[in-house]
Amino acid sequence: MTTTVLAPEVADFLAVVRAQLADLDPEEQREITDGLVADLTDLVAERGPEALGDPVAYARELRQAAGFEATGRPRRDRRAVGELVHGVLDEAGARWRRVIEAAPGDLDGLLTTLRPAWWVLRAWVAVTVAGQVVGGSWPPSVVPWGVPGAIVLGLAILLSVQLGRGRLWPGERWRTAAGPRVTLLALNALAIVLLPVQVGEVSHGWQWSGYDRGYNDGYADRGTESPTGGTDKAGLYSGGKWVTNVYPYDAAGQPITGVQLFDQDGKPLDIVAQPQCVSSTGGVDVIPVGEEGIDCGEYYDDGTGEMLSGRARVFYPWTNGVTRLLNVFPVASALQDHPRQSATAKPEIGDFPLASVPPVTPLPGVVPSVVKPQEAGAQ
Amino acid sequence: MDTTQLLKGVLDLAVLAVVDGEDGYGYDIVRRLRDGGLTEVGDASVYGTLRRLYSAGALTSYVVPSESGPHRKYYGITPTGRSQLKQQRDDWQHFSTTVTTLLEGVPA
Repeated sequence: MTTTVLAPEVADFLAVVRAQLADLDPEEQREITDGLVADLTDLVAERGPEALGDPVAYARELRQAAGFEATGRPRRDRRAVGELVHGVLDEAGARWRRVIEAAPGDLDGLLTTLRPAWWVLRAWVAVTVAGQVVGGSWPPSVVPWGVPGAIVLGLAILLSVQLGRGRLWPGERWRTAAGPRVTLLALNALAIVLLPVQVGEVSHGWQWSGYDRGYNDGYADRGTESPTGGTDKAGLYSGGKWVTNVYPYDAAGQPITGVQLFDQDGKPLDIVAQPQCVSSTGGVDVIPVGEEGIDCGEYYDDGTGEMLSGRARVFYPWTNGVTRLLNVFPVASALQDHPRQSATAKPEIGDFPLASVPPVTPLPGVVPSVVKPQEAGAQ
Repeated sequence: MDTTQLLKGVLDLAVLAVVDGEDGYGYDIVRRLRDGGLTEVGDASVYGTLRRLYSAGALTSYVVPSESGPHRKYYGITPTGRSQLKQQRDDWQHFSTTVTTLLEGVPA
């Protein structure tokens, strides 16, 4: 085969002639049009494109001289369509090649050299797309499904390269059958479109896992500070400090237990009843370990530098028999070796920070609640 | 007078004669026919004729790659073609002599 560019006039002309002969057997067609490329090219070179004349009349003359019956209805419309497709693709191909050959720096040669790389790349695109469509490969990775994926990828590359070399399918048939030619073209176009998408997915996949790590690091980095700096503003805050428990006193200044608190909208004033690592001194330096649970022994107190005791204060909220109530105070808690284990010690409210506080002076017209004597006595 | 109708009858003979002289590809054969005086001959008629003679076994064909352009399909004559050429040449000579003689007897 030669790589000489077909003059566009010749390609156009030939496409029409082929379409006119579409009712003949592919074999006969090839016989009759074979060599025509050279003949027409010579003609144009010698006498210019005008010498080509009317391709329909040309085809008629050709078929009459060759002894085929005059143009009737094409035997099969499908074939006519196929020839038309071939004509259009031939023409587009000729235009494309003209552009490529006109480009500086031997672009044609460069592209030819890069073809194997494309064969590998399109196989990779197909396998990664399959990985996401079929599933089992999330987040997107360069090779889905680990080792089996690598084997699938290897097979896909082999398939793609053999296809590219025309050894597998459809071989030389693409010259006569429009179906395989269009299919290959469409698949390649699809791969070109999906390539940047897949590259994006895979690099996004890396960001994904990176994000996960970063989130966990950030979570751990919150250290002994109260999590006011975090984006999670669940819970109660006072003066910007995280409130882990509330100790109510009545108007007379006496501690009371089992107070339910609601905000102006009737929403419960929930604390966040998550376990906290406590310092070895038993102080209030705490690390919220979250629902997942973190080994408290891994952490050091930022302020003192001493290792935390490794024990966690686990809160046991009140319930109404159906659900946990996080707005009932004070909340009982227990010190445990591990946040996720069940309590070894009985959860306790513990000592109020102050035994009693000064009584409040009632506002005019506002009567403070009075705890009924028998209930007070029951406590 | 429309010479294209006449040409049709003798195109096989003309093409065989040209190819018998020397193998050639389509456009080359057209050129040689034109140079020989058949200026009216159509390219497609010649190519179609070549194809038909090839099918009939009078011609053989082979592809010659070209460095400067598309490959060319060359035609050469076969023994069958050669005997066909001889037969048709005799027919033509007989026919043309007859017609010439006929014409000479007619007053201008």
